[in-house]
Amino acid sequence: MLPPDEITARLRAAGQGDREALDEVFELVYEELRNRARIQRGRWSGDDTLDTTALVHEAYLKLVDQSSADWNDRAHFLAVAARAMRHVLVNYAEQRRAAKRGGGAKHVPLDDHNPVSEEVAEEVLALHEALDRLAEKSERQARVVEARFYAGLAIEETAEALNISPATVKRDWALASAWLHREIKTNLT
Amino acid sequence: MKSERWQQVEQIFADALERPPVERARFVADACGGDAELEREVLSLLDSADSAGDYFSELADRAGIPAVNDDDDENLVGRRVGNYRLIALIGRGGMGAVYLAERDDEQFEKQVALKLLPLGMDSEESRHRFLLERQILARLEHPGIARLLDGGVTEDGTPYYVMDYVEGTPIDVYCDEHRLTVAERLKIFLSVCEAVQHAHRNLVVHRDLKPGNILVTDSGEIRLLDFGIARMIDREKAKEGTTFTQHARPMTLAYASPEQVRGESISTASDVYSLGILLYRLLTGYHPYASAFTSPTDAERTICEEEPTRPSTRVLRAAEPADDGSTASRATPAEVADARNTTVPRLGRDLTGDLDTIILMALRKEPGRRYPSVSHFAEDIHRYLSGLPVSARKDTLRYRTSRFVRRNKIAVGIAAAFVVLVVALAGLALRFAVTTAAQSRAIAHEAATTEQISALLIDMFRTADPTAGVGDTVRVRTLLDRGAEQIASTLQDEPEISLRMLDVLSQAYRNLGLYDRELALREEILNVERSVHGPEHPDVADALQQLAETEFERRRFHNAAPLFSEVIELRTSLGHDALAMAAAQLKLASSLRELGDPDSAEVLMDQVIATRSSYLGEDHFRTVEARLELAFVLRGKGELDSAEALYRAVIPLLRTHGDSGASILAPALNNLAYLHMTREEFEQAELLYREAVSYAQEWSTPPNVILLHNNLASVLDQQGKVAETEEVLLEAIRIAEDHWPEGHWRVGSSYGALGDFLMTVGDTATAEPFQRDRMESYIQTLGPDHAWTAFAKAVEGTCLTSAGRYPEAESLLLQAYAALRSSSGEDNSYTLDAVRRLVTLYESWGRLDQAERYRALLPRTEDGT
Repeated sequence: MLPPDEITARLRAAGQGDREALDEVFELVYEELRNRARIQRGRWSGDDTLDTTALVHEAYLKLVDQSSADWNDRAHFLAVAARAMRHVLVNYAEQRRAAKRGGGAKHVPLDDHNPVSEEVAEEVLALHEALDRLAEKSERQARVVEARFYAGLAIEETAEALNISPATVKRDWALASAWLHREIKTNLT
Repeated sequence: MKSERWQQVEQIFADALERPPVERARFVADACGGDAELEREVLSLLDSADSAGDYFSELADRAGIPAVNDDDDENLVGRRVGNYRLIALIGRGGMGAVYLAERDDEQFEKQVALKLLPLGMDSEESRHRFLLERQILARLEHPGIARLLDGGVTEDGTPYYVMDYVEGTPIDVYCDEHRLTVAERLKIFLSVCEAVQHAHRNLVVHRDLKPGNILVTDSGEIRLLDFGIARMIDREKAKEGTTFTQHARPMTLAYASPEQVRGESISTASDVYSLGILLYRLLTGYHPYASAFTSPTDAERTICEEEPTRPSTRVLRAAEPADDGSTASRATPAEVADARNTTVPRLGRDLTGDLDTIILMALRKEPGRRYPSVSHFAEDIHRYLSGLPVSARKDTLRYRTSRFVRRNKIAVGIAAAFVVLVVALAGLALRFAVTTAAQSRAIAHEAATTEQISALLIDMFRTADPTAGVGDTVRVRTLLDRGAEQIASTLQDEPEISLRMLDVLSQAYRNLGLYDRELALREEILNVERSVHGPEHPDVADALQQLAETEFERRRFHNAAPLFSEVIELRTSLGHDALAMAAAQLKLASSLRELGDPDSAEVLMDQVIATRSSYLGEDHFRTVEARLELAFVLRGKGELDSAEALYRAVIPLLRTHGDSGASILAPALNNLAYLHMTREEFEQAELLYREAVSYAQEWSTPPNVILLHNNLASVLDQQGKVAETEEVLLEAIRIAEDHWPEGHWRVGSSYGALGDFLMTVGDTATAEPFQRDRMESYIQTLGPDHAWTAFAKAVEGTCLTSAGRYPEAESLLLQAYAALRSSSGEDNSYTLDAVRRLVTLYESWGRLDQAERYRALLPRTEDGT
């Protein structure tokens, strides 16, 4: 694992458009979130929930060098983390789907770290696919949904992460959520 | 193109939302300027927008993640609270949000954790609870507990408090990351106990102890967090506290005690339980219950009813394959051992005995049966670490005596099934009896059915435990006897069918352990074969060999040996090849070995091995099996080094032979272990016995498994490992209780084995209930006059003597003496043993003349005069 100041440097490079640095940071953040998700299960919020908001912030505190980071770095981090969080959840949902297709009986072991239940897995995946289609219409709106829904970021934080105004976040969220809701409803029924 | 269209949608949609709902449709129609498709799209989205908010909140809820919060009240990052600026949200629990914060008005950069009651939860009760938590933390000042630094109320009246910001890792993750050994884990666990003890001394029960609430800092110190559902136990508060029990936020099920999930009253014993789960997990890497928590009801049942898996057993067992795709997070036993800087067998051994006992005592279902306090729990771990006997041991032995609850209902069910099958078989036999040979050919398919039924019957007699229910065995035996009579009287003219039936019946007798009857049938089969085929025929040779095997099984080697010789002669004159004779030669060798002629046995075995090697190959299972027998012979000749070398060569080969190899690994390991015992190489013997036990559990019958446990116990005893010896004997009791009904003599025997051991270490008081149980089971299943019963009475008499219960002891010892004298005679060693016990009794009782009277019955050398 890279030391925090290195990660901060990569984050900065990614913020300036360095694709390779972005991929590298994404990998790191994804791993960190997954590990933290595992640790967190059964920590703050009882057994069946995953406090994605806390995960993202904890990961930030751990990965990014606090003494040198500025608000800009934080914004870049949150943007990456939101996307990574989406993949963490989608990955859980895919595991569930795979388990179901494997024909396994409905059996959840005690040490299960997967917070996404079988019932909700298909919906999470439908949202994921709809979100890809939304990104074709508006990349920004898709990112807003990632930040708001998956990472549980506040409006201010979302605005900060995507470098847009809070009002835009609100408008994007209203339209995106309406569109996605309609998509999922028609695709799942 | 597409995105341009979307921008139109975006604009009209956003503008429409700004307007009151009733005006929206009209606004959209105007704004779309006759573009019907656009208008439809925006209206449809507006329609969806009405329910989208609720939908996503609900989806988040179902997916177990925080809901998107539109009014943004909850996340206050960036705001000021009192003198603190909130930097990041680090946690949100039922009882408030926790932020990382910094003091805003001072120079020093101290980071703190600030907990704020969430606005939405600002009810009278949650406010009260929040303040109580603050109050609880204020009482606690301990290096292992996150300190309360400050507290107050925000401008809008929301209470908050400030505590140390603990940068650390959950204790389980920390231990794994640092590959801490079992001893190191115990030490770190002891520091957790200290912090919890501190809370308990201040009348605070934490109620939510779990790894996530116990962090370890980089310097290796522990910090207890989150007293969010803690409760004060002083009397005044207890009254208010009763409301908490009902409204408390759900505790973490994996760490919750039975009384917690049942909503019963909670005490420091609940924290003892949670600490027990924590210790279990730190040492084994797993949770103690094998069952999954599929639903809250299941979880409650598991927590309240399922016995935890013994930690030492848990670490040996491979993780059940997860069928939910979460395999990545489930460590294998090897990974678990590696994270403890050890190997799987060594970890199993470290946990066996005291640590098993300590952890299981903390995990008892009844709060009153656990350690009375966290300090007692910690004290036992200290004692373990310093090699002193632990207090849980004696308590566990007593505890066991009161919990003989298991029954084997299945065994009884199988016994009942025998009866049905025997009846079916008898019916078929009768139908054959009334048909002619020609007709019987015509009903060939029914014969096939008979084959199946007899195969099934043989199988059932083999797998089921014949002693499951005495009454059922008797009934099965009666039916078999009747079947044998019927066959003899009605099937005289049908030798083929008759032989087949007799064979089935004799196998059934063998599986019931009724060797005398089996022998009689085998002799009859031989006679029938001879009368049909004459004295020299392959079928006669087979029947003769079966008869020899039966004598061999009965351990009547002086009968078996000449029979096997006869088989070999017969096969020789029939021109059978060497391979066909090897089996009889091997058994003849075993018989000769048992009869004290290892030299002849060795010659025979060399022959068998040579034959099988050339016909079947060196590594063939039959060849390997023969080499094993040779090792046995060599051991009998006292050639221990050659025997050991051979065992060491053969055992790895057995492992390559799948099921058939595995099925004889346990006896092979047992024999090698015994060899080491005779050389007083106890550590090696112990390892081998342990391995033998693990194979026997899968491949052998309960009596053999128990025998191996007793062997293991004796090697542990030889090494002075008291706790482990007891553990193994307790395990033998568990196996016996699992396989035989309560009161069965085998169960009684297993109690006696532990009782005997306890008496050798001088703990007669603990031994007494075990000896009494053995005695009672013998009276019940062997009868009051059986020699074993008498001996058990004598032993119990001695226990009662030690307890000063002289009249009871006298009565038992006199009964034992009378029974042994009449069954075994005046000079029998058991009779004399009973006399010695009587002498001891009367001496302790102070009735010296009686003591003198019995001493006079002893042989002169020990009469003390």
